[in-house]
Amino acid sequence: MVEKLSRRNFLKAAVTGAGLAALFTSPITLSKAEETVNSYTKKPKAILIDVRKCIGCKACQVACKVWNKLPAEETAITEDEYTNPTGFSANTWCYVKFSEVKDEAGNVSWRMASVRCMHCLEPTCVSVCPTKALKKLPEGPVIYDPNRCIGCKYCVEACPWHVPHFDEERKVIGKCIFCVDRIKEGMVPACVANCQTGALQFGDRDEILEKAHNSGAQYIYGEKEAGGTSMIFVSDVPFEKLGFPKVPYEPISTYKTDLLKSISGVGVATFIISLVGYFGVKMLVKRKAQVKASSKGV
Amino acid sequence: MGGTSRREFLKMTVASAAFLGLCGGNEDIILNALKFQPSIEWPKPIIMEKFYTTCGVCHSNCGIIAHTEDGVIKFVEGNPKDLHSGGKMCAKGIAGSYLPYAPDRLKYPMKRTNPEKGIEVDPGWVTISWDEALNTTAEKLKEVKETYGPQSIIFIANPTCYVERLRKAIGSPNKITHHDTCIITHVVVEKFTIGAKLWTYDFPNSKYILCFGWDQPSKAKVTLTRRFIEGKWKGAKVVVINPNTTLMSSQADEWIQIVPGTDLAFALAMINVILNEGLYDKGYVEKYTNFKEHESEIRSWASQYTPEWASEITGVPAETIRRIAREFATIKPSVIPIHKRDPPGPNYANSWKLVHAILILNALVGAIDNVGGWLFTKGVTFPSLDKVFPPPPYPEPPIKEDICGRVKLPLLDKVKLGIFSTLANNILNKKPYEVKAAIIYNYNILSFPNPKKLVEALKKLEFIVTIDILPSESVQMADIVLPDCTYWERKGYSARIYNGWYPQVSVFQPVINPMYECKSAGWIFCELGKRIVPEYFKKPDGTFFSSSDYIEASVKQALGISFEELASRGLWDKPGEFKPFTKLESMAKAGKKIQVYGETFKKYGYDPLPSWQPRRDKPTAEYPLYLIITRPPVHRHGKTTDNPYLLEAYPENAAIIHPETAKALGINDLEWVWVESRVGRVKVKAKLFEGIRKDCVCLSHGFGHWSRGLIYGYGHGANDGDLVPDQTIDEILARKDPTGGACMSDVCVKVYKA
Repeated sequence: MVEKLSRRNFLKAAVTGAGLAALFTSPITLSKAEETVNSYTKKPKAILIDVRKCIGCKACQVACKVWNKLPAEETAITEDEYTNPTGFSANTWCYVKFSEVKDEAGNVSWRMASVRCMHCLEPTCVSVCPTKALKKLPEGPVIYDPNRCIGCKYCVEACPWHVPHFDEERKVIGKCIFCVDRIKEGMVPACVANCQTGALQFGDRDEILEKAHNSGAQYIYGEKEAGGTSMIFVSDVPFEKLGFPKVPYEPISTYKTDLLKSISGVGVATFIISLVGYFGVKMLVKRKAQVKASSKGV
Repeated sequence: MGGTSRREFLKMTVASAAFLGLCGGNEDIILNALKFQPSIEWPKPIIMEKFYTTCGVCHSNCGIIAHTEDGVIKFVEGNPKDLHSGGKMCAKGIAGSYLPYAPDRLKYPMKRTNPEKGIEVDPGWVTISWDEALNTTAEKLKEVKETYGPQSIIFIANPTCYVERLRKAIGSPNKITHHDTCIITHVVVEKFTIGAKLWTYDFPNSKYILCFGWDQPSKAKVTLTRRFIEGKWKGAKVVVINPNTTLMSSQADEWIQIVPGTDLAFALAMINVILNEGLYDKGYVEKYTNFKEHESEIRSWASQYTPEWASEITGVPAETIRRIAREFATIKPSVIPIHKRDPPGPNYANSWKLVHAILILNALVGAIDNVGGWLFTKGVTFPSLDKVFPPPPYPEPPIKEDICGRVKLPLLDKVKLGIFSTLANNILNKKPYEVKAAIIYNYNILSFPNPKKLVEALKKLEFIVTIDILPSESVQMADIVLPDCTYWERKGYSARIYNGWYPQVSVFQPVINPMYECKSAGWIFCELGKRIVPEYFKKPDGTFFSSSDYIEASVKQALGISFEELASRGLWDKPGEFKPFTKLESMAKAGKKIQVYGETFKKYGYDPLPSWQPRRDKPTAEYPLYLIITRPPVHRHGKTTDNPYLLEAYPENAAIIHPETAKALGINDLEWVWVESRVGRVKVKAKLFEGIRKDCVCLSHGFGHWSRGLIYGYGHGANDGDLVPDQTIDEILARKDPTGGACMSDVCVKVYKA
C-alpha cells in the first residue's frame, strides 16, 4: 500500500514539475506572447542618420550631454582632428565619428556619422543581462535600471558595437536611452531636435526604412545587422570606410542564453535538497513502517 | 486514493519552492507568462517655467526657449517659430546654458592690487562694492580727461548705444572696434558701390553656388547651413575654392585647391570670360548697374585678366577657370556668397578688391536682389537712443583725430568702424598723441593681430576698466573689473539684420535673475554716465534714464507693442514676402545704380575697378608656408574655449600640415612643433592631414588663453593671432586700401620641431 501511494505521489510531483518546467523553459514562447500583446500597443521608433547630409556640427553630441546631464570629459586632439570624445563611455552616449575619404581623383573630404546605441530589435545586451537590468521597450528604446545593474559587464562584452560602458565610480553601465523620457512626452530625441541639416530624422521604423530606401543613398546600415536595429544609417561611401563593423544579420541573443540565465546556483541547490528531502522522508516513512511491521511480527 | 492530504500538500509546496529556486529568483518569468511585462517607469520631465529669449553666442541670434525650475535653467531648445533657425540650435548655443553657472565667472566688482601687469601675471584681485567700483572708475576717468584731454580715453568697446553716448559726451574720438578684423571689407565695399547691406542668400532657389572659401556650414551657422543644404539637395551644383579640406568643401561637387590669397585673380578671369563671351544678363546689367556708362573702360580693363594669366597665379588650370566662369553665367540662378572668415573678409591685402569683383560677378549674372541670389538685408529699424532720449549737444572734441588713424581713411571714417590692427603701434609710439585710460567692453585682446604687442601698449596706460563675463585676458590687464550679465540675465532685443532674410525681431529677457552681483552692461554704462557726464543720461523730465527705459520705449516705437508683449511672444514678424527687384527698382528710380565701375572709389583716390593686387606676405626662404586660419564648428572665437562641453568636443588647435611637408621637416603626427612668423611664434601639436595643400599650414582660432582665471580654457592650444602682424596706418595707406582691413590671414610661416 505504501508503495502504491509513493508511485502516485511521485507521478503527481513529476507531472507538476514537468508541466511547470515546460512552461519556464520556453522563453521564446514568452517573448512571442509579449510581441503579440505589444504590436497592439506602440509602434517601434527609429532614427534615420544620413551621413551625406551631416555637416559635423556636433549639436547632437552636445545636446545629448546637456539633456542627460552627463559630465564633460577631458580630451586631447588625436589622430582624427575632429572626433572627440573618441568613443563611447559611461558618460558619452553619442558622438560624431569623422572619417577622411578620398575620391578617385585623390580629393580628400570628410564624412561624419552620429553614432550611439543601435537599440537593436533583439538586443544582445538584454539577452545576457543576468538581472534583467536592461530591457527592450515596445517603442524601441533599450533602457536600463541602474539599481538592478550588478556590474557583471556581460553587456559590455556582448554588444557588437561596444556601446555600453561601465562607470567604475558609480558601478553602473551607461549608454544612450533613446531619450525615452522625451519620446514618451511626444518630443523627438535631443540629438534629432537640433540637427540643422536634417541628417537626423525620427519616426516610426517602417517609415524611416522607407525614407532610407528612397533616399538615393547607395549604402544602408542598421536595417538588418544583429537582427535589425533602430538606427538606420545611409551613406554615399561604404560603411567599412567609415569604421562601422561588419555585424551578421542574425540576432545574437539565443534561446540557450535565455535558458542559461534562468539557472542559478540557489535554484539548483534548492531543487536537489527538495528531491533529497522528499525521497528521504519517503524512505524514512517506509523504513518506519517496515520496522513497525517486523516488530509486530506479522 | 482520492483528495489531497496535508502531506501531499506539503510535498507540492516543496516542489513548487524548488521550481521557484530554479528560476533564480526571477518570479516575473511566471508573471510574464500571464501578462505583458511592465516597462521601467522613467521619470517624466517636470513641467517647468518657459521663457522666450535669444541665443547670444554669435550674431545669428537664434530664437530659443529656456525652461527653468526654481530659478535654474534646466533645458534649452530652439524656438520652432524662428524663421532663421527653424527651431534648431548649434552645439555652441546648447552648451551656452552652462555659461551662467561657470564657476570661474566674474561675480563681483574687483580692483587690482598687483601694480604689475602682463601675460600670466596675477592681478591680485580684491572684491569691492559696486559703489566703490563705479565711483573710482568715474573719478579716474574724469581726472584723466581733465589732465590730458578726452582723446586720451579710448573705448575698446562694442559700440552699443550707451557706450557711444558716454564716449561722445566725454568728447573722445576713440571708438575702437573690431570690424577691421571682421566685416569691414563687406561694409565699406557694399556701402560705396551699392549703398546697402547684402547679407543674406536665397540658397533654396540657387542652382549654382560658387564659394571663394565661403565656409559657414563648417561653422554650423544654423540659418545659413539649413538653407544651403536645402539648396544643395534641391540640385544646386556646389563649387568650393579652398586650399584646405573643410566640412563645407566635403559637401562640394567640385573642390579646387587654390593658392591662398589669389582668389581675386580667379574672379577677375571669370569677369574676363563672361564679358568676352557675352554671357552676362544684358537687360539686368543695363538697368541696374552703371556698366553701360563705363563699358569700354571696363572691357579694356578686364581683357588683361585671361584665364591663362590667372592660372599662373592661382595654380588652377585655365580651362577649369574658363569652365567655371561659363557655368556660373549659364547655370542659373547662380550666386557667390561671401563672409568674413573667407578671402572676401579682411584677411588679405586684396580682400576688399575681391569683394568688389564678386559684387561685379553677382551683378553680371543678375543675382543681386533676385530669386536664388544675393539679397538685401531686411531689418526692423529701431529708434536710436538719441531719438528716444535726445542728448544735449555733444561737446566739440578738442582733438578729432582718432588714435588708430581712421581719420586718414575717408571712406572708413564715414562708417566709423575699426581699427584694431594699428592701435598697439600708435599707443607705443604716442602718435598722434598719448592715451592714458581705456574702457574695454565685450572685446578680448586676444582678438587683435599680434596681441602681445597690445599687452605692452596697455601697460603704458594709467587706468583700465574692463567689463566682461569671464576672466578673459582683457580682464587680466584691468585695474577695475565690472561683472557683466550673460545673455540669459538681461533685457533687450535683436533686430537680426545679420543673415536677415525674414525681418523677425527676437527678444532677450532675463530667464534667471542676474547671479551674484552681476549687472547688465547697459546699467553699468548708465551708472558711469550719471557720475561722469550726468546731463547726457537724463530723460526730458530731468530724471536719469535706465537701459530698461530705452529698451521699452524703443520696442514700443518700432513695433507698436510693449516689451512685456514681445517677451511673451518671443518673436515679432514683419510681414511681407520677398519680391525680386523691389530694392533695385527703387534705387533705379532714384537714379542710383550698382557701381560695377566704382565712381565713389575713384572720387576718393581708390581703384574704381578691382585691378589685380597680390597678397601682402608671400612665401620666402625663411617663411616658406602659407598660414590659413579657420574655426571649428563648436567654438565661437575665444568665448567658448572655456566651456567644458565645447572643449570636450574640440579641446585644442593644432598645426594642420600635409604629411609630405611634415616628413620633409622630420615631423610626426601629434608631435609638438613651433609655428613661427615674422612677428611671433606659437607652440602647438602637428596634425598630419592629406586634405591640405602641401605649401600651407592651418590653425583654428580661439585658443591660447593665458588668463589663469579661466579654469578650463587656460593652456589649451595656442593663439593664431600671435602670428598675424599688426599694421601701421602708413602701410594701409601705401597699399591704397579704403577699408583698413587687418589682413588676418596674410602671413607666411615656418614650422619646426619643438
